[in-house]
Amino acid sequence: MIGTPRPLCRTQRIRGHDGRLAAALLLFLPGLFWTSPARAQTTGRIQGSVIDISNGQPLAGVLIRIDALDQSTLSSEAGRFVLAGLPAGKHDVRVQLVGYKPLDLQSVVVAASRASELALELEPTAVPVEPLRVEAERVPLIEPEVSETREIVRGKALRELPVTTVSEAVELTTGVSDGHFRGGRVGQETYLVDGMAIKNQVEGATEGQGLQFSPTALSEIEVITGGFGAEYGSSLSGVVSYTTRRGDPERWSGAGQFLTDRLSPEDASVGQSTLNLTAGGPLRFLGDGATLFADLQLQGLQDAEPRARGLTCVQTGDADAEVAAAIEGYQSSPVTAPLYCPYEQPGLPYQQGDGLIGFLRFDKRFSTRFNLAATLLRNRFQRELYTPELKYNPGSQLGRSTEAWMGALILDHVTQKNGHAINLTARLALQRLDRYLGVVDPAQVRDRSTVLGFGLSDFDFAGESFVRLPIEQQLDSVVAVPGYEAPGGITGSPFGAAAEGIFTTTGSSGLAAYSRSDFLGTDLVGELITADGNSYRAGFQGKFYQVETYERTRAYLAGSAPNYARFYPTTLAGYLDASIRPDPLFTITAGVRVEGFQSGLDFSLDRSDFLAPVASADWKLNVTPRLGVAGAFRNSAGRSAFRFNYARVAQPPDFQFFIDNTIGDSLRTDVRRQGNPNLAFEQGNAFEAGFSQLFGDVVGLEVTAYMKNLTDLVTGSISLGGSAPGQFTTGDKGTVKGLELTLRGRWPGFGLSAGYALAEATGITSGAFDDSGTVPPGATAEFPLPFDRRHTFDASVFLGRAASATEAAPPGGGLAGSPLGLVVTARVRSGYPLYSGVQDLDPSIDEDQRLPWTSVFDARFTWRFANLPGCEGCALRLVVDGKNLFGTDNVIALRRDSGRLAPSPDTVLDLAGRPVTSTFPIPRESERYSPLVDLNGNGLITATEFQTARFAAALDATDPSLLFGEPRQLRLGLEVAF
Amino acid sequence: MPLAVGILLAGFAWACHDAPSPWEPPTGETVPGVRRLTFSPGDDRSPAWSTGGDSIFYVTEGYGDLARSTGVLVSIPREGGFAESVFPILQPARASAPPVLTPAVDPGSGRIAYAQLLQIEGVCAADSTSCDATDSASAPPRLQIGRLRVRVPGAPTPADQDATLPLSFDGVSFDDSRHPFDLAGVWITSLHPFQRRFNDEGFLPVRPSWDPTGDRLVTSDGLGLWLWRPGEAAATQVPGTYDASSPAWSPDGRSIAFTRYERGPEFRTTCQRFSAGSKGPALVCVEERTEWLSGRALVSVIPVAGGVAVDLVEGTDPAWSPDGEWIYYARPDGIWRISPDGGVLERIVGTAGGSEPAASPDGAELAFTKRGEDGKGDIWVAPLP
Repeated sequence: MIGTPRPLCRTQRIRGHDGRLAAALLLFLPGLFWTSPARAQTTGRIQGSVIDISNGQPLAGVLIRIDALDQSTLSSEAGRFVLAGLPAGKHDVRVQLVGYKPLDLQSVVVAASRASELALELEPTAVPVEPLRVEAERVPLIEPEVSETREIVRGKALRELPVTTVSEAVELTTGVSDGHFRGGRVGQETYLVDGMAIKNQVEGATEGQGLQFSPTALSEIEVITGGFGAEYGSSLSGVVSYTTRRGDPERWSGAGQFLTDRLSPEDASVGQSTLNLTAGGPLRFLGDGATLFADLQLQGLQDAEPRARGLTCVQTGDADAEVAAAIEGYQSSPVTAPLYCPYEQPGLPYQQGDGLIGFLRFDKRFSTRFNLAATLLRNRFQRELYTPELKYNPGSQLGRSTEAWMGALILDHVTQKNGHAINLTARLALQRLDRYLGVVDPAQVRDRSTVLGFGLSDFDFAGESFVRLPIEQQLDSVVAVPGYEAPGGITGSPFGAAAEGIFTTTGSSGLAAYSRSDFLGTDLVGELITADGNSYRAGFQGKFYQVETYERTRAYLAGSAPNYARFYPTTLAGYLDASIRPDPLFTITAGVRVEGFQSGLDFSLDRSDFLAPVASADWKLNVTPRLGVAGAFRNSAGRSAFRFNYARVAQPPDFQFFIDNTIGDSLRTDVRRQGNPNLAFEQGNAFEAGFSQLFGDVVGLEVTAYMKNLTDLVTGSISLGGSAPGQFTTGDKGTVKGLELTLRGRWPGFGLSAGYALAEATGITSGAFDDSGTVPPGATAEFPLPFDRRHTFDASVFLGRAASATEAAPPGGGLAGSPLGLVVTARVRSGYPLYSGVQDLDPSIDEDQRLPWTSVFDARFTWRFANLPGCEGCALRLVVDGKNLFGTDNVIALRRDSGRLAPSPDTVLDLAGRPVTSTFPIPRESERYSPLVDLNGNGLITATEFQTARFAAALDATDPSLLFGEPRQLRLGLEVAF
Repeated sequence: MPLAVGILLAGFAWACHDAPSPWEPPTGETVPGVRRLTFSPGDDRSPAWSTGGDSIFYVTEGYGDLARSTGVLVSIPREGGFAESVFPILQPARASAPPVLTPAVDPGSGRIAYAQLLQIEGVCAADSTSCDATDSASAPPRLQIGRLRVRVPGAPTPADQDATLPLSFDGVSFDDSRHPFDLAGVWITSLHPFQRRFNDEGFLPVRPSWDPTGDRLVTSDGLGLWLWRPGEAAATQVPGTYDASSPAWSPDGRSIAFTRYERGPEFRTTCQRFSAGSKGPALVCVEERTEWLSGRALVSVIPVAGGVAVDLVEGTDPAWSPDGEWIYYARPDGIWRISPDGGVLERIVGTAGGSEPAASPDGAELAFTKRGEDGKGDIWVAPLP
């Protein structure tokens, strides 16, 4: 039989040979692996072909074995083999056949939910020889067999990148910007952990994912922005799949890292300390293949959401001529100067917080076929929330707390036979996500005992035990929430009585809210993998939720009743999916998914009529086909590849839209909508075409063009709305078109990953999230969506030891062997539109106006400077981490009323024009007196002096602190690894 | 290398940037020497020190959130600051309330004795008056009925539970046996020197003073001094005190200093009072008044048991120093002090225009009322030599 063309012509084959070639091979084996479309699992597989190098004929009966896992298979008549159900990680693979030189492949990377393809060539020999040791570890530069658009962030890269959270690492992938995936609204993406979907289905659009992992607990993150297969549901714009780390079955290893910025200069410190402890290894007393992995991250934060300018005031450059003149007027006289910006500090006050992420994973291999994994995750994040109106209130602030628990059980069963593999996976997960927003006493927060800033005890929210009582009990007792007092205060700020009604200096905010969602999730998947590399899958997913939400906005009022809901939504899905290789160069993926959900709520057919009949929300169903094609061009030796995919996408709306709710941050938007339990799927069509090219063996380039047409997006637009004004419906439309370029390169000691995305996102309106004005019914006029970011550029550069450790560069001496490592990342983005969907109500508004460009450069430098005595392979590393190195004052939002950082004069005058209870003159002995307001120092505050101070107070209350991006931060740390 | 690690670890242990601290109001300004405590446009007067000397009670005409009254009792910190209402039950914020006047603080328990005026009307309401003596004071006596009360600051009880001594001020009576011009009677009035002072300056003779043990109070009804034990129904007169006002009990408990108003020549006048009617002025009442021209005001001292009062010096509003070595008093040019035996006389610097002196319990400072050109007073504090 004529040797079939080798799809790996572009690379070197693995063959048994003499030492010299082996040495050459040891240097550098890029692109060794084909990979096929992602399968969301905790295990991966190795597949490929074996030939006789002397005649190119396929070899049957070759033993491919992994000793450590006691797993093996034999190649088929066609020389193909597949070894499935392998835990993610590195494995040593032995390939042998009598009469041929055996191969020992060292550290073959098996990635979860991926198939690593090997093209093996055995050399016949009559002489028994030592097996050739080949080190093989590489991340592919291009992936010709993958029809999706995806990027993978390896666990080791997560530990070298200058990031503290996983989302910061996801941010660096092409097409993701501020949690928006390809111009989509936050919440249009889904999240998976070890194959189990864990999306925050209740409030993803406004609160984000909720559940968090620490970067050191993950072995891999996969980000898919286009063409995701039928097994992924509840997503319109992206998939983020986490694979957790597991213990090394051979030996115990771990690391401890402490990083803090509290030793840094004031302008590079936000008071953050992070402690990371990781350990994993075998549990030999439980038998072979039992491992444990544990990870703990503790964070102490003086400022949980630091901003570039810290606590700042409007400046003349931020304002229009009228307000600028007023500011200059205040500054020009020593008498009025103290009224301008009386309180300026490097950081934001009342933003203390801490975070805890704890993760445990237990694995046990019961036989060669049966694998059990159990994981447990715990989150606790709590922080104060800086609010400009409360900044002079020492007794009461707002705070929030997010707590999460997740436990999962994963059972994998794999059967390998005649080159085929059948993989069955069952998953069970339980999750609780609890968010609480309420009043907190800053003194209690401050006085808790802390270790390096990490608070050991929970925040003591005012009246939390009352708020969490059963709702019937609360409604029976017509009382205010304990600890809440009506906001007010006539004095207490530097402006004294002149700030009455502008700042709240006594009493508290009235907000008490919590949201708790529990779910029980199940997932069953069956997969058949043939030796040819085809795979066929079927799966079923179900989630049963209990959702409880509570919100009371005037908790200090005895008569105010909360908005409360408890309901039991359900989501079910089933899918069929096939990936076929009719030709070695060509892969077709096709699938269909059927998804359904039910809100589990009853509702009145006419809210204004209490006698109107009550209906139950019915099941909503949706069918979404998926199709993808990928392949390499003939005669390109695998260096040029193309892909095309089409996906119909759909997701249930956030469950929060079923009920009456305040969207988003009620302090700042105060937009209220009526719930609609009868909402249906948000859906759309996505098309994508891409091209990849490998240059030499060092640079890979990908170009992708895509278009998404999304329909039935949730909106609260009044004119598009349903029977009740301001009620949620699914009537919004959005279109995103884009072009993405991704470049990856690797040289000894230097690795590069860069991406550029050009995108345009337009829609009718996104009135669900802000009142953008009325739109005539049936209108199709397009406006830029609020998250239409035209240009996004991300780059990561790995140098030295960092490059080799993250496998971003080949191993070797020189720079790669250095004890020094450096990773530099850059994020440059153009700005969002300032106005979107605004009708021409105000001709002075320039609708094309955009926020300014933002740029952030981060870096992490590491120096392995010593070994731990008596421990080979243990190391001490110094870590220096810098964020926003150039200290750029990125502006991430502007005010709508003025299009600037400073408010318009009308806004300030409205605020200053609120009624006051003071009578004039105010003598010095009155508690309403403030020396700053007594401009002529005569002991009496006249009405004129009072108004001067009141305008200044209104300016102070509209401080632009929160309109800035992250500040410069320099962290210093130590890492111990064993 | 271990040293470097050690230094680094030590650095982690001690280094810390605190969280940004919240805004704090500036501490009250302290002005060395003479300082002004009140600035309100209304009349602030009658300072009295708290028992510890850390604050000063005084009476204000009100402003802002204080009660609507011509006499609100407030307390202000010694160094200056915000004044707080002392009797919020009696004088609730922004509500009408009767005035609380001339406070006196019991040095032991902190109880406050205060005066209230219940009837200060004129003789009869009229639009015009005609008296037959052209150099007569145009206004009849107004002080008629008042009371002295004792209350604990912060007490939750209503006012009528405070120990009360009724006061009546001589000067007005009605003779209904005569009916000139077919009127119901004739008003018989005596414009005593204290009544004239009240009409001209708002001066109140009542100002009580506690004995050092806090057992009794000495007060004045304008014509003489009276001793009263709070809780008893009546007071006993101090013999030998004529035309005595504003008493001050000495720290040793043995003497009482007071202001004595000499009576000038007496003369009588008859006044007719008319109301404007549609058919011209109509006679509404007739008043027969005896008045005395003002004589000198003198600071006098008398033993508590009674005896002969000794005039020390010309002046008003005597107040003792806490050690009993000095008596402070007011003169038109400011506040002076005199030794009880009259031997030494000193002026207190910085008190020009001041009246109603009160020495602090530690003897270091003097609080007083200073009136501006508009006649409205403010509370000042001056250091004592």
